[in-house]
Amino acid sequence: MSEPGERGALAREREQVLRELREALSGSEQRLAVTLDALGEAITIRGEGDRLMYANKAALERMGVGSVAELRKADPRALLDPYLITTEDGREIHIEDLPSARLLRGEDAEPLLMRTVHRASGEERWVLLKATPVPGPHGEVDSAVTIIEDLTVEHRAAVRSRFLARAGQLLASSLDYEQTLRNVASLAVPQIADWCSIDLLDEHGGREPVAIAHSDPARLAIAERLREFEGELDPTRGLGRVMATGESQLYGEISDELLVSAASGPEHLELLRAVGIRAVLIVPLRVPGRTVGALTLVQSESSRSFEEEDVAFAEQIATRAALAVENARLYRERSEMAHTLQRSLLPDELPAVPGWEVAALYRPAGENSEVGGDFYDIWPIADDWMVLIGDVTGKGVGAASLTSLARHTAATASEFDPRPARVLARVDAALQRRPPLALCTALCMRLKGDVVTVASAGHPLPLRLSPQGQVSEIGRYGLLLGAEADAQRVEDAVQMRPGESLVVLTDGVTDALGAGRERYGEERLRERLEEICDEPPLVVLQRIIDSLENFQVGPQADDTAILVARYSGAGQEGVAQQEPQTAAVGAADG
Amino acid sequence: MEAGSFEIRGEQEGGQARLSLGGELDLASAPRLQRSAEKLLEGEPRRLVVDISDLSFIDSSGLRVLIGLHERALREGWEFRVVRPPEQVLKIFQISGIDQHLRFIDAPGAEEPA
Repeated sequence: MSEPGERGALAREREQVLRELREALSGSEQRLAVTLDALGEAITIRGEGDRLMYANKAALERMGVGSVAELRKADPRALLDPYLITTEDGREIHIEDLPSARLLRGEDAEPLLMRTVHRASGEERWVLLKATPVPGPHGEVDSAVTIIEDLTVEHRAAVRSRFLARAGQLLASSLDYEQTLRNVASLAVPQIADWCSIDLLDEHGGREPVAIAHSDPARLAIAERLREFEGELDPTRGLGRVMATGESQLYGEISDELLVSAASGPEHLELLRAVGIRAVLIVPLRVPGRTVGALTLVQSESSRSFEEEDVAFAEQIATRAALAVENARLYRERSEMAHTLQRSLLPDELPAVPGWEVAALYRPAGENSEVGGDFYDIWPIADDWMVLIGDVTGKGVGAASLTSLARHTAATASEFDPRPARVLARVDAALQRRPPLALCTALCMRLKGDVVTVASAGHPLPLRLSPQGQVSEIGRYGLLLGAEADAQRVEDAVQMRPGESLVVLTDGVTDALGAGRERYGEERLRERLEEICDEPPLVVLQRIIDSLENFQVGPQADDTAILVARYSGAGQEGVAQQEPQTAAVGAADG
Repeated sequence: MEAGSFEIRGEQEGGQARLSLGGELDLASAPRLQRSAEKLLEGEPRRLVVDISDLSFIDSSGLRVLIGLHERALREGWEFRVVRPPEQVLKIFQISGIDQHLRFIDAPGAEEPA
């Protein structure tokens, strides 16, 4: 039994305990609030009706809300309105997709990486949301705590290093720089910018648009139409200025007034407005000493803007692109030079040889910008015709000068003495004077009516094809040129029957590599020739090439020259009546 | 293009130097033969034998090195011998006419062909 006084004391004591407990709790609530506010991460608590019940200081600042009380009154959807919120791949995110809202609906919620762009300022942030459910008295989720981690710096760094790595690969992958730049531009949208275009300066200082990309192909039509309004580059503004000064231009805020002043007329202005340009960044494509073009990045529908660090990043891309363009151009020039030189070493076109049909082909080695060492020529001496085919060891300018020496020496020598072995001896003597060990194989033939005289200097012998399918070598082997002074070579004369052909070629044919490093070889060539022995020279030539291409694996490793001559026996009058059946095919335009 | 296989082994005993080649002697491998030969010749052997009996292919770059060695031997007064290659490789020597100038032997230890 207790006294009433005791009861009163107990009640008082309980009140005291409760008061102390309340104080202690409110103190901890405050301490908790202070602790949460000190955190760099934004933290929110979302409750019933998706309303936000609490946000720490960082979260309030992020949302631009003055106090927790204000936050509690706010419509949760309205809080998201100032932002464009998307996933990494550009899909829009709504309030229902937020992890906290999912937990409140009793669903599971994985952490969510999202991009927020403040519609008014264009500021872009990357945030990771991680939500934890808070169970109520009956075990159901009555609120959810979200930790919002700002990964903007990390995400941008990751995107950029990925982009640079990929762009670097693209730029190094090909010498077709137009296509490569188009690929780089496509890679830049939409992660780096909404639009990306690349322009180069042509040799007259004019604008050469190379690439324009947007993630939505439909929008590209606007760009195409805009092109029609572009005039000359203006060195005082925009692209023209970047090209002229080699300095980047950042237009952080594109106002409507700016569009009005830039537009050439109402239609142009309408288009410019349709693009919805928000910010523009133009950086030069520079190589040491000059600007070769410019890269333009435009932000529009994503509402993003550019910051100073974007300029440095874009300049990095542009530097790589510029180097790729320059390398490809240098290579192209060198290639063109090599081809021009090569053409100078081959006859422009084959002459019409009375009584003969002739076709010849020179194919430089694959993807090569050097002058090859193969050559052929055909020229008249009185009523006879001289044929020369050869192969100089080596490549490049050195080989070209030897080729030139061999061809011209042969032509000159034949004026004095057209016997093939003598012609070769003169070329040999000329090469002997060249240091060190200038080697060259050559085959010289003299066509005199139906008689062919042949001498070889280390060169594969001519193959004679009869229309009945016989293939046989004519002539005999002789020492290659430049190896030993005063080497003796023998010449042989054979009589051709009408319809018979001669095939002469360089070792690029027989040495061609197939699968398993098998060589094309003489056997295969002979078999092929047996099948096509009664075809005209141009067809024989084409069939040899077809067969080679079928056989060959990988790029053509060596130069190849082939000459086919068929004796028609028609004589002078015959030729005069018909079309000249002579053809030089594809002289070095790979 | 994938490079063909090429092997080279050098040995020297007394005044005799020997290089044994296998695989493909072409533009890619010819410089290796050149370097190996020059290294062996630093020992001033009386005789250098290049054994090409295991060679499967030779091109003009390979021939060029052998011709160079042949000429140098004539100039400097040492013996240069080449062990006869297989048929398909010998054909290249015949086309180039060099087979008439080089001294072929039938085996590394062999003297002049019978």
